[in-house]
Amino acid sequence: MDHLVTPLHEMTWTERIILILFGFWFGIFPVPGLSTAVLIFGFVVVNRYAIQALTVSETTVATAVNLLATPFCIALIPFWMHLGAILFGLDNRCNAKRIIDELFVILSYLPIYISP
Amino acid sequence: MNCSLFFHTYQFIFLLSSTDGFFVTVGKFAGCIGAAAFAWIAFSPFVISALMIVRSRVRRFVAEEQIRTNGEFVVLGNDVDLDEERIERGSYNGTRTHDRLPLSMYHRLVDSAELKPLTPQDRGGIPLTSSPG
Repeated sequence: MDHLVTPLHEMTWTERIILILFGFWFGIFPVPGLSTAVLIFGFVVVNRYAIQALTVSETTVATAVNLLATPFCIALIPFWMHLGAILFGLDNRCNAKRIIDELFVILSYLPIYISP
Repeated sequence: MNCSLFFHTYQFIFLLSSTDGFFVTVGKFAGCIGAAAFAWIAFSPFVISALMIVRSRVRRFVAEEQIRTNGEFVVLGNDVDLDEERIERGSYNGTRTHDRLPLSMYHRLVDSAELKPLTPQDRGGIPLTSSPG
């Protein structure tokens, strides 16, 4: 708590919003399970190239927001897939809904093959 | 029992490896997740740069407000990189009080220092009094 709540109290509202946006942006990386690793890479890049390095308390806050953003990460996957399809010209092949439907259809056959 | 298990496993593997089966769908899904990740990466530099620029501006604004209202601001933390100035002035060791700083050093200090609003407790920290220019 000392590393999370106290620094949050000491920050201005603008700093809080910026850190929340920073953690959230890395939290919605569209590969579930990799967002924290990407966030750590982001810390390294920012501390190396930005004018002001992130402090320990700021990294703690950003990491907490990053973890809390996991539901949004999963919810936004179809959006990112759609965007990726537009960017890379995969319009007909990256229909998230269709692919997920196909996966469920195949998985629905599992009980038939598993049942004795 | 073993024969039955073997038979069902065989059938399931056959299903997975069929032309429009599991692996094709998973492959398509993985490919689209990859495209999604690259879409995120494509936007990231802009988002992160914008956030860092705003953060830098905000911190400078906060420091300038502190100087305007209190006549000083407090430098905390050990990430204050002022080696050149320290050598030039021959005095800054992170613990001493200075009454006036040159404007260039002030800006560099604001850029590199960990700043937070002044509180009575901070008076025992490292106070630096500066002229706003």
